[in-house]
Amino acid sequence: MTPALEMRRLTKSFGGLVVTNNVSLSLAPGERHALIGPNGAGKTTLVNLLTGVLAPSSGEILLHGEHITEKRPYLRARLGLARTFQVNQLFPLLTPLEAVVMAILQRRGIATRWWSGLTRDRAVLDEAWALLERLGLGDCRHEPTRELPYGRQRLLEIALALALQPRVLLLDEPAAGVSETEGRDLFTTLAALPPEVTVLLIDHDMDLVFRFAERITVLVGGAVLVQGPPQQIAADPRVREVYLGAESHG
Amino acid sequence: MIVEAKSAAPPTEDERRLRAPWRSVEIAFWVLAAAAYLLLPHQLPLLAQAAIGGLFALSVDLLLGIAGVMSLGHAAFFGIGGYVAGLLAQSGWGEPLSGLVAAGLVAGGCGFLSSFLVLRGSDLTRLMVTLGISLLVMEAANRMTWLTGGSDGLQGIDVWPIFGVWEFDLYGRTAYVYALGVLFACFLLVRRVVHSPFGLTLRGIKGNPRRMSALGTPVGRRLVGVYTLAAALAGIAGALLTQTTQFVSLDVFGFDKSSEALLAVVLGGAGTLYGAIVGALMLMELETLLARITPEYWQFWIGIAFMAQALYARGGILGFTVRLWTRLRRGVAAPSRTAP
Repeated sequence: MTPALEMRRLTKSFGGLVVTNNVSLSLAPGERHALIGPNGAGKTTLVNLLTGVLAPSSGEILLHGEHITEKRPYLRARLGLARTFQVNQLFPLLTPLEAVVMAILQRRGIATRWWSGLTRDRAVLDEAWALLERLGLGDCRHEPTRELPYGRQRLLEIALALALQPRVLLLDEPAAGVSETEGRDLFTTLAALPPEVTVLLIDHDMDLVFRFAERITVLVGGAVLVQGPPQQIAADPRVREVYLGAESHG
Repeated sequence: MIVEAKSAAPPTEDERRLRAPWRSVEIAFWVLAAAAYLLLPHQLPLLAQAAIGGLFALSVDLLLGIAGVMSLGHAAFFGIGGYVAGLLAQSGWGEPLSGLVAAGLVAGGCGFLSSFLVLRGSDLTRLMVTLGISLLVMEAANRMTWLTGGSDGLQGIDVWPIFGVWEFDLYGRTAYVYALGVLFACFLLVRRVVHSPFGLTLRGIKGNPRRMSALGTPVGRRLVGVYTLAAALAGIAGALLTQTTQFVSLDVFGFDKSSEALLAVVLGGAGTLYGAIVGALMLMELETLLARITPEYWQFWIGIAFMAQALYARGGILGFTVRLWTRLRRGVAAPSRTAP
């Protein structure tokens, strides 16, 4: 079966500094995969390589068997690779409804229409409403995004990615900065993601990662340290050393 | 359609908000503008100028207030439109409406071509490049004396009556109706665009270009589109000025022109469309008024007015009025600072 997302010997270096070192990773369709690692392990760089914000020094990226290594970020999004951001990247003045409608219009390829109103396609509204309801954003969908509580903004961050109906979803620390109760809402949302969507979760919240992922890849110093199912990762002495070591240093 | 009937339909509230129906204030605005023809018969030449300035500011608002693109050289397109209309009329084709169309097309074409230079880089780069382009265009017009008349301006512009019926008169009656009519038509277009899918993506780009490309939007291409449209509208405004005054000179390319439109947008309230028009009118009235009261120091007071607006009336006159209105309607509750 063709992997949903595949990285082949991906390397990125800035001058002499190698931040991604020969990473090969393959995600089966529908897989729930987590990428963990201490700070500075190169997790964010890897996300930037996957989404096309950075170009790799060498190596290849394939999305459902198609080479996307050279493709610009917006084209990757159009091919079904969606992402959320570690730090909210939202539209402060737009309402959640407007933002989600915008993403849906873009996905449907009708975002260049300048002669018709936003409500011409009833299906777009239906879809936006269903999505916002599903994520518990229905009651605040008319408020400007900047006035929403942080936890809601985190959910909107995911809603925008889901509006693209992605085949592969990259979640970059979705729980960053949310309170415990908000975190629970967030996990419910993640657990309810459509099973056919392939998810790569980048996080260092161990609790979330171990509950969510079927397989885990541990990244250290830009290279893959170990890969396997949660039980194996939890028992691995090298992983313990990396994390305990990192914690004792601060 | 074969789609199953959804059990849950979005409330009609969603549809109403996204459709952005005309509000009574808007209708009142245009009725008032039309009524000025009867109410202020002696002000018509000035009001025609305000309508033209309003159209130019509207094109800047589309660029800055909606799409978030800063330009210090938008007068380049205003001037190109002005000269296209002037040259057409001078060389024997004085039909005004086709002159407007030609001016819009040429200015839009120039906008399209220069957009690739302008839209790379950050805000600061854009300020410099737009300013640079307008200076280049102005100098080119200055050098091509055989075509533009150089610093003397373009002489012998003969504009025909509108629809072959209404001649331009000394009291500015025709000029005002004409300018207001064109402003209204262009406003309808801009309003349509702003509340369309394309317009929504422009507002998205203004809010967060990085997220837009993650959503699959080719940000650069969208900006090329809006820059072209804004240039065409500025060209039409320039053509209006030439046709209503039967004269055009190099001033139309000037930095003053660009910055005044920018000030009008900020003064009136960026991104509101009406703010641009109101701002242009206010700026003109303010200048005339202050010049009458203190002929020597009027620019000093303009400066004070801008600072006061920037510090105490953010969101411009329109934003200020809306806040005041909502507060009055709520009753005078405990005054709370609105978050910026």
